[in-house]
Amino acid sequence: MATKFNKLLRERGLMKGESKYYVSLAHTQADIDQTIGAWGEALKLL
Amino acid sequence: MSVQTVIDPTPGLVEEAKRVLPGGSFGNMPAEVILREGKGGRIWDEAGREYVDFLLGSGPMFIGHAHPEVTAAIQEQVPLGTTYFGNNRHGIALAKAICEAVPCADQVRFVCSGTEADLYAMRAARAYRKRDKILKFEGGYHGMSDYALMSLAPKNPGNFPRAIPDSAGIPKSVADEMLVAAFNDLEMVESLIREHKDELAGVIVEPFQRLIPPQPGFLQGLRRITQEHGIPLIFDEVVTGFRFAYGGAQEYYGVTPDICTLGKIVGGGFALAAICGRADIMAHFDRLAMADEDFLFQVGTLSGNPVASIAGLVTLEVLKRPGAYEQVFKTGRTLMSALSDLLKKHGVKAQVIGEPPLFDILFTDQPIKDYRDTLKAERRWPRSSTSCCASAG
Repeated sequence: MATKFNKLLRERGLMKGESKYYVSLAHTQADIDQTIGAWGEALKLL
Repeated sequence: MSVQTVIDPTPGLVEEAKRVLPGGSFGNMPAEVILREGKGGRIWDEAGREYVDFLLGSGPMFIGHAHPEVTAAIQEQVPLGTTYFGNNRHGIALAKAICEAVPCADQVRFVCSGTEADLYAMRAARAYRKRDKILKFEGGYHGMSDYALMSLAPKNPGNFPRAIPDSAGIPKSVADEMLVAAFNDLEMVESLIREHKDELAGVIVEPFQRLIPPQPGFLQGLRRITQEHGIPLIFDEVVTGFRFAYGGAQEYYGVTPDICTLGKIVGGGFALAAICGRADIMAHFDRLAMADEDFLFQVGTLSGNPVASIAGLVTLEVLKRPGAYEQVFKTGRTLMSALSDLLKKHGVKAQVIGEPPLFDILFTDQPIKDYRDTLKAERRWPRSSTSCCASAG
């Protein structure tokens, strides 16, 4: 499940390791919006 | 939102990687992921695809890739030479900054990786206590040394406190030098420490184990028990140092260990890590202060080199500015909350676990307090190869 989810996210422009989201000082509102959008799309496909 | 195609960048490079690298990779990511450029919170692969980057180089790039101030400082240093072996002013300044920031740090010894830092922190505890055994926690990650790769991710956990090697090539005898307890189980730790107090050199723990926060009172209890027996408590803060707070997890959770290890952020994207701790323990690194039998021998070619040191120092300067941690926590909280809401909305039995600067999903709705709880989640989702405790870094 997690592997499939991560793959779907990578296809939607999110790069993460196998098991962590590292948040940075540089992440912007646009990054947050894109991330939430990608999660929504990927969850529909799980 | 446009769906990007399956990652298949520059097939020639992937083929070449498979020819010259075992498994086609550096060991960290799949061969097909070939990254080219990072800037701020974004990263691009060799095919030119752009990503929001939550990998952050496995954590070091906490203020973003190619931060202009870090880049400028490095560019100023490189023409002056990149390593000298002897002391340099940037390394001294970085050590001073660490001592001012990290509660347990009276003194600092630089190395090049978190693995080394953890290895030497355990050696320092042994030198100080003149005993051999180290107690660690199942699922806890402390680098790749023979001692650390014990019960990190056992597929079939055994009986506590027996250590189970995680890798081929580790001498069988090493397992006998390690004791293993369950994270967040204070009763078990207390009982093991009382039973083995005369052979224990130290206790090493990630104060936030992989993604599992400590339960209220756990770290405080660990501090109390170790103090009671004069056993050094080592916080592995390679991941949490300068991430959860400027003073790391020890500041965030309000518990000060005797020794801690730092890596990732402290090197500003370069190979630098550190062992920090109480002056009387750190004194074992000082040849002049110790009798031969008490001296902890440690040197390293690139330790504290000026490029890594200035990169780390400027990174810390950026983080020290008002509002830096508030911003990271705000971003993390927004993301964690949105993800939790989406999981509920889509009826997925999963939970968001961690703290705002570092979190993930675990596909189970059962409470998670230790490594074995994460295994239950794995069994519920047999296709998954991801465990919050199984991957390093």
